[in-house]
Amino acid sequence: MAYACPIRRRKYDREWYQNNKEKENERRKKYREANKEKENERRKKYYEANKEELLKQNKKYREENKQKESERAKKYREKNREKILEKEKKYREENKEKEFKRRKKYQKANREKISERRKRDTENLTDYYVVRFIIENTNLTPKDIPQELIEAKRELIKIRRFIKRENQK
Amino acid sequence: MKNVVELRTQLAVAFEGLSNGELSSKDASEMANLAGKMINSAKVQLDYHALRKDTPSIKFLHVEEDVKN
Repeated sequence: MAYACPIRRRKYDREWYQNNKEKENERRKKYREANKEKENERRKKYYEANKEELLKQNKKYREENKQKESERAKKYREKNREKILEKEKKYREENKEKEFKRRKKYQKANREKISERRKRDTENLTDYYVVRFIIENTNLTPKDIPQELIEAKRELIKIRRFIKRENQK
Repeated sequence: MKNVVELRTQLAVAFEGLSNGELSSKDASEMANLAGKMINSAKVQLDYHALRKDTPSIKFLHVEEDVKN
């Protein structure tokens, strides 16, 4: 049906979409899959042209839906843990200088926090602290160390600390 | 001490004994020395497998604990 009037045309299109939602969504999905590159290009173009407005909208949405957004982000991190870690590792390797500066900056700004955390780890013999002991001077990473070995090492450290304290008396 | 779980248990018992005076510092020190060597040898094995990029099958480390009902 051809409408000369754009307002009537838009109204007709909207009504038609409401009545054929599933069919139309399926068609759009198929089109997007068949024209992935073209679609990506179109989206990219649209994003570049409306960047500021979109960023503003996203920020507003995040502020208005903090709880929902935090849950979504948490869920995403859990679901894509390996992928995220791999991506972060790749980034760190490709931006060594930048990462070094960032770490230094963080350490300088959070000296007390870091020192407290280290103290707490040392006192409580956390897994993190014990694993560091095991992997030092090796090519091992924390995930190579079985939990049982960590627990045995923890008991050993406890004994050594006790003996050291006794000898100091 | 055939595996890491037994080693952990023994060390925990030793620490308990040390704390309540049932075990002397000298004996505990000997035991800690031995345990340290066992842990280090497991560490060397793990390191070897990590360098070879294969999956380690170390009897000392792979233990299934019995669950008592």
